[in-house]
Amino acid sequence: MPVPQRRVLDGELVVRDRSSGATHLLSQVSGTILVLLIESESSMRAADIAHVLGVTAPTDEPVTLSEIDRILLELERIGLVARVPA
Amino acid sequence: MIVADLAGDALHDALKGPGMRVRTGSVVVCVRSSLPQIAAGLALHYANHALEPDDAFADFHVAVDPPTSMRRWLRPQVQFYFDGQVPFRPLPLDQAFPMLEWGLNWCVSAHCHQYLALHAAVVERDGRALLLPAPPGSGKSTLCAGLIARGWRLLSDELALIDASGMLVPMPRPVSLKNASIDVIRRFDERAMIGPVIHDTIKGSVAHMTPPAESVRRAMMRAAPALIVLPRYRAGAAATLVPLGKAQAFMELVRNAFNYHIHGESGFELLADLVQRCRCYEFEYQDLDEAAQVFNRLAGASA
Repeated sequence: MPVPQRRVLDGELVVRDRSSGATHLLSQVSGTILVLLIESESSMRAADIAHVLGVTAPTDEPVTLSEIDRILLELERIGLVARVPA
Repeated sequence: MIVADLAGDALHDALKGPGMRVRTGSVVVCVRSSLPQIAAGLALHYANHALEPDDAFADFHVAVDPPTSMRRWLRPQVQFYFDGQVPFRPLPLDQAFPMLEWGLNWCVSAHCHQYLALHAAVVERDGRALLLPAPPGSGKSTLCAGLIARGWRLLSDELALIDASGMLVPMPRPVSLKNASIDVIRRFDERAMIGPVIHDTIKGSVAHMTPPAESVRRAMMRAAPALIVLPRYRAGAAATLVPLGKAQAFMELVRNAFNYHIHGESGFELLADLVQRCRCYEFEYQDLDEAAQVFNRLAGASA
């Protein structure tokens, strides 16, 4: 899938889905996760994301695995990420 | 030559004949009409607009005339014609001039894709443009009329046109006032030239205010965006300006865009660049004088 267009404005991420043309304003955590996925050389599991968030991209609040799952589902729903076969 | 140079019946004759090529900023519209209301509206509200020669290129060819069907004998109506096509349903005859204005807005927002077009008023002071993006009913046009009465230059009360370099393209045309705002502006600016009030339109009572001659004279001077303000009229509200995050402002511009989807990647970058260079606010007001003072201070502070 095409990598979405993105800009950081005052610390917040806005993205445009190149396939649908839809534009979204992401929360800080959602934006961080999306950028992680874009910049990752391979697919990531929720646990991988949680690990990276804890080590390199600390957020204001600790992010639980279930929260990451919820965000991934939402990013998938709006077409910004896609699930790959396990 | 400007519209006001057409003496006596010359304007009506031109409209009935080959049409009048009126320049509104970078757009030339060829208008034809047999209706005296259109001649009167153009004479009042476009008096200072430049007229192009009859053989000049026109971006749009429009006409406002009664429909040709038998229905015109039952209930007088008026139709907007665009390049010979009929894009809208007819309206009652007394709405002829508002229909011309609404039709021209549609011509620009639906066809001028060389610009990114937003539903926003734009005014400018000291080289810095203020964008007021907002949905209908937010008090945008009232605030715009109030600011031009206090010396701001009108670029448009309805359409922010952004060129590829991020500059705002003027298109000064009559300011559309609705319902209570008509009397608000009459009281606020006794010099304002406001045309007849047309009742029972789809937008309620409507009247148009003539754009300032100086704004029309400077219609080819593009302006650099400096401020984005989301206005909202609220009864009883003190004039209050609250900083708005740039990402939220960006999303508001996207929501208020007419042709963002057509511009694709470049539209995204253009709006993001525009927001980056502006200070962004939400603004609530009731009293127009108080509001104008806030914006005059803001313009001074952004100098």
